[in-house]
Amino acid sequence: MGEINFSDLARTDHQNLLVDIMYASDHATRLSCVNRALDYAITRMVEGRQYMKELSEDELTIQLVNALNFMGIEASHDTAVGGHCDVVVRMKGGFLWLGEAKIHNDYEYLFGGFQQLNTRYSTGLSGQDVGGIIIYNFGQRIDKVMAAWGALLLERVSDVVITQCAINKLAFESVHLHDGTGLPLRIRHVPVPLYFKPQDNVTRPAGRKKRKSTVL
Amino acid sequence: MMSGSGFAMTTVDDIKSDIIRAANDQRRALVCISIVEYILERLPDKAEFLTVRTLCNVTEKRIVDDELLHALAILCGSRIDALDAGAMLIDEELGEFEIDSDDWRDARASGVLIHPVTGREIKDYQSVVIPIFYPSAKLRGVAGHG
Repeated sequence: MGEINFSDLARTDHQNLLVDIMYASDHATRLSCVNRALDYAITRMVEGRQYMKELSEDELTIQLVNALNFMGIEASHDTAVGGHCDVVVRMKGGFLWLGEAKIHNDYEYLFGGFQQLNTRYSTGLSGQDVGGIIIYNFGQRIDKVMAAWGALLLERVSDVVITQCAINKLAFESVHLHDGTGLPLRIRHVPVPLYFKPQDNVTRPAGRKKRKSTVL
Repeated sequence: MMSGSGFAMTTVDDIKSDIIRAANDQRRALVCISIVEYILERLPDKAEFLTVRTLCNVTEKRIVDDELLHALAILCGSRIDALDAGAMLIDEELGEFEIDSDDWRDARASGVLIHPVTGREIKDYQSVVIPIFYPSAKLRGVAGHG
């Protein structure tokens, strides 16, 4: 049998991500891999949102961390990094991505998560200057929540610059100078829209529906 | 144990423990460990690089599956740092050429790979380039220090 070439190595999106993780030779590529895996994990969660209603913040985050691990990203929950951070991703070369995951109830709570990430967990060092705020939202119109959240950051964080995420229309990225290092700290703010209230009024019959006899 | 530089020296057991933690799955961890053990048995002399076909044989797989790819992602991309991923051009007429990692990164980003001898663009380059895997400096260090 001949050797296996790149055409034969990866055929699915998941396999392509695994190959990209193998070949990630710089932190920018590693960050791109984390973002792709995170978006995939969130998509799976949102597709199953009818089962998420009863879950706590920690339980939701454990689902997310498990999905990241399934995608090939070494992620853990509640690991000690200057405190107990919700999502910790480590990769080759000292790369560290930290995520704070919050159920949205009020914006002060979200800002508390941002400040935890900013002032408690992140070292701000090169390769450790990226992270994410993950916002679980059980209410309607996550687009409005994200717009208000972005506006609050602009008001509260003096040097912050916000840009729309190129991949996910609902997400955005903030960049501001880390207090400790003075280097830019890049945080991706990613919503998880879990609102689920079907309006179709269709109820499934309890038992198997009897087949009507057909008269020919 | 501490080395002269003051850093704790990585041992084989450290690497295996890290693999079990990073793999988060027993079967995946066993695939990683079988690859590491295979390399360590052959270092320092006989493990210049490994092809995917060799890795399939080592892990007793007939085809490349998600489990093997996942194991390679852990060994190359995680802080386990046991392997470095590379690429080799197989030219039936001119021979085999290891591709510089920067050139390969650029080729993957741009979709264009230039032949190292002819200087011409290689059409459908993914079908004539094979993945290869080198033991990392960290793994060689483990082998070198027993």
